[in-house]
Amino acid sequence: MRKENKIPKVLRITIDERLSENLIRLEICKLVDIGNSGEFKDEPGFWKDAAKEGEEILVQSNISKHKSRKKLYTDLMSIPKSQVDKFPWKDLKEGQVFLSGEFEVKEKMIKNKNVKQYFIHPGKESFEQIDDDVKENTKNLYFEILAKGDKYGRL
Amino acid sequence: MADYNIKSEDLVISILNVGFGDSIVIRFPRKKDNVYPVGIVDCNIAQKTKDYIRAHTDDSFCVEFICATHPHLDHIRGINSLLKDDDFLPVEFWDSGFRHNSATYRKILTTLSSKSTRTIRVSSGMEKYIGNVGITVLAPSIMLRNRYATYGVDMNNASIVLRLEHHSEDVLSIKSEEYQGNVSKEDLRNAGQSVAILAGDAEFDSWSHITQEFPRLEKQDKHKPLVNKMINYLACHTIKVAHHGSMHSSPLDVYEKMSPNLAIISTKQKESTSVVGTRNLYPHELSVQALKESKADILTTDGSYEAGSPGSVIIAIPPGGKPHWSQLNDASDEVPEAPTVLTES
Repeated sequence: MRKENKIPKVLRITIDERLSENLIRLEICKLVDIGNSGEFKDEPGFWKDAAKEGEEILVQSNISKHKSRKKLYTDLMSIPKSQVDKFPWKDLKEGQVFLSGEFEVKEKMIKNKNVKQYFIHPGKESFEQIDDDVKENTKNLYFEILAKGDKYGRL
Repeated sequence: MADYNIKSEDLVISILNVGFGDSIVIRFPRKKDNVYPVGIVDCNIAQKTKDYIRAHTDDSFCVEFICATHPHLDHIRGINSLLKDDDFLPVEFWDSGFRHNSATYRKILTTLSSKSTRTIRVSSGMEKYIGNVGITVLAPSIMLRNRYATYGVDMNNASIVLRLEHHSEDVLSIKSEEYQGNVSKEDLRNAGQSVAILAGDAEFDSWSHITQEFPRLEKQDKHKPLVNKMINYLACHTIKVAHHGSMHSSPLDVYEKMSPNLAIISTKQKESTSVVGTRNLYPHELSVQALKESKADILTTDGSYEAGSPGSVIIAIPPGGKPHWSQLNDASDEVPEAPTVLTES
């Protein structure tokens, strides 16, 4: 049988809102197609929009054990079995961001700082929490926007 | 009750049926150049919001501001699409300063960085006038805002809460003649009659600060104050209920201070297009009971309350006058016809 040229799947998953003890809304964005190799970043250009307008992704806790295993949050978030215990339901908090899918992480020293880089790796199963880096980048961008009035002469 | 023809000088607030989420369009009184200033508070579905604004203004509008009350997905999902569309690019973008790590929020910031829109981090006490409509920001309190960096404030409590009052005269007149004799004009004009409050997803912490910062001061004959002044910034005709009617967002004593005639809950009960799980949560019974206790008429955009029908809710507030309202019958994926007449039930 001819092997399909499958696009590696990588997801960016944010815990958007904890609606109740047993219900969480996720934001799930797919990586744009950058082929079977190469670096990707946590920048808007690399990620498709979240679920289409009007749709929302709600997940329930493990309490729903009577339902099919397929419906558990750990499956929806594609948490590898080896890491499931590291991410219990009770520890999921608003604002946490995870990368999930076929990629690998490499670390590089840039300006005396250890920087994580992400590369497509077909067939590899990875799950990485990245919100510390996201926070810093978002903060910088936010204050850049607040301060940009001078650039346009509007403040 | 008689039908009411919406007039160009009315302040019209449309709480659109967009499923579980908020998209609120504020049409301010038409200006002399026949353009309607428009404000957008949150946007869950961009296309419906755009189409509705075009129809509602005869395609003659200028977006004065987009207010993202807080960055949960059901409130900001459609905002990037608005910002990228030159017709809907606002003069100002208001946000609470509570930063989210979601891709949707990051895309909004990235788009804003390339646009001429002025971003304003608002907190309680900010005032703005558009025509005779006074907008006061009731929340987030600066005390909460200063705690964002800690773990003491969650996203809902960072929500922007807006108070809109449609005055019968311009702000200069109001500010220059606050009293008639020794009686407050606010008292005379029956404060709250022409006021709507849009409460975002504010929860208990936020309301506790709102009630401290905007207290109800009552005139008391007994003490004979120098000026018989009554101030109650929370008195209102209409409240867009906080957090889709969650029990964490609706303290009864706040409703008692507001004494709203009309309470609108934007929600979607029973089912969602979720991958896993169903909602069947909002509005909570506790919240409905509190609203009933305060004698407000309750409307839900999904029609779930007392087997109503789903649809957007439109409120027209004449200058200094009593609001009129009605509910349309659009589904969440339909654009309603622009209302011209309100038939109150």
